Amino acid sequence: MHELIRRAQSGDRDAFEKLYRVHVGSVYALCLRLSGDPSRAEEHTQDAFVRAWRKLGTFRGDSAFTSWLHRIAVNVVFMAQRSERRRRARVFEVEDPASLATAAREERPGTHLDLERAIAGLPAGARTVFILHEVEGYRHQEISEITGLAVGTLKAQLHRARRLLREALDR
Amino acid sequence: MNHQDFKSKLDDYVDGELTDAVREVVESHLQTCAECRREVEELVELGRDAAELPRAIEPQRDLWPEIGERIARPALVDRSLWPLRYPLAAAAVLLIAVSSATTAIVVYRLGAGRTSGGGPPSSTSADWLVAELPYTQAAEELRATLEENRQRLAPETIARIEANLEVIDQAIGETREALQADPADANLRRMLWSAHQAKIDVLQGVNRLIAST
Repeated sequence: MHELIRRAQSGDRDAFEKLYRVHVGSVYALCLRLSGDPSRAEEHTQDAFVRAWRKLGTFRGDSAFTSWLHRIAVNVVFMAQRSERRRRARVFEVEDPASLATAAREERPGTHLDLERAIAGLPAGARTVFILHEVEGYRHQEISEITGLAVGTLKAQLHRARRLLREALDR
Repeated sequence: MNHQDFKSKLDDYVDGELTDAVREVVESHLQTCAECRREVEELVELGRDAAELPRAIEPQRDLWPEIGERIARPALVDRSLWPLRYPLAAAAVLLIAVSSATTAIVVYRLGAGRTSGGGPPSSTSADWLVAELPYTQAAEELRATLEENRQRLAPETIARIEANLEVIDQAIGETREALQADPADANLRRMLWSAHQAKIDVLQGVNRLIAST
């Protein structure tokens, strides 16, 4: 992996394509969960990899390449959502929750399917914070930096997400 | 702390966000409170299930061809301004149209021995100034986004955007001047709105561009 990254950093597009093949699934999963829409998730995934290519020179290897790439993807989704909100002045909602459920079904039936559906049905703010914290493993401070939300606000969103999920899953 | 106080701390307890002293108090409460104990178990289970969700979901199609094409383009000929192609083209056409029109108006008036078309701006001119407000406010808001994200765009891109916004501002300025002289001219009003719309289109294109970088 380090060799692929080094080659890609020196401008080797074949090496970058190999990195893409390794990471596209996790980046797409993240974009799909955050956006709730398969076609948008595809666009966000492409934008994230193009941006990663342009920023490869800034990757120092201090963090895992996956974390670095996911952070770029999260920022891409957020910038797109902010722009969309400004432009249309409307609340972002999941357009196709079934797409997430379909993906989960392939991996493990039952718990995952129910949970993916329940997450997809969360209000946008609560869903975002829950995915970043519980699925992606970001800490509160990191989520605050990414989303621009105060830590107190995102804790409230996380609490709301957990309550709604437990209700939806009948726990 | 009463029961509700303890309940309000359970998220932080599960997330490991409590100080040692508070955590010990909460743990002491958990030993005696079945309801809070059950809630903690549910929160832990939910977090574990979420962490075990599939890390990868393959897209329905291969996304690489478009990525490969985009990264293959040299920076200077990158289609980074592609989302702006129509607004920029409109801006160029607009400048030509406004310049020609205002020149024609001035020449016509000089030839006809007219000056300003009727003295100082009347209340009619105040009307179109007020009508401009939504455009100028929208442009300011979009411009603020551009300013916040300047560092995300290539210097060449910024230079081209600024040059085109300057063109449009020039068009707006020239049309305003002409309207000062003749506030009732419907063609000039239409040109002013077109210029404002062109500016909004360019700035919206910039916003989309920022979102895609």
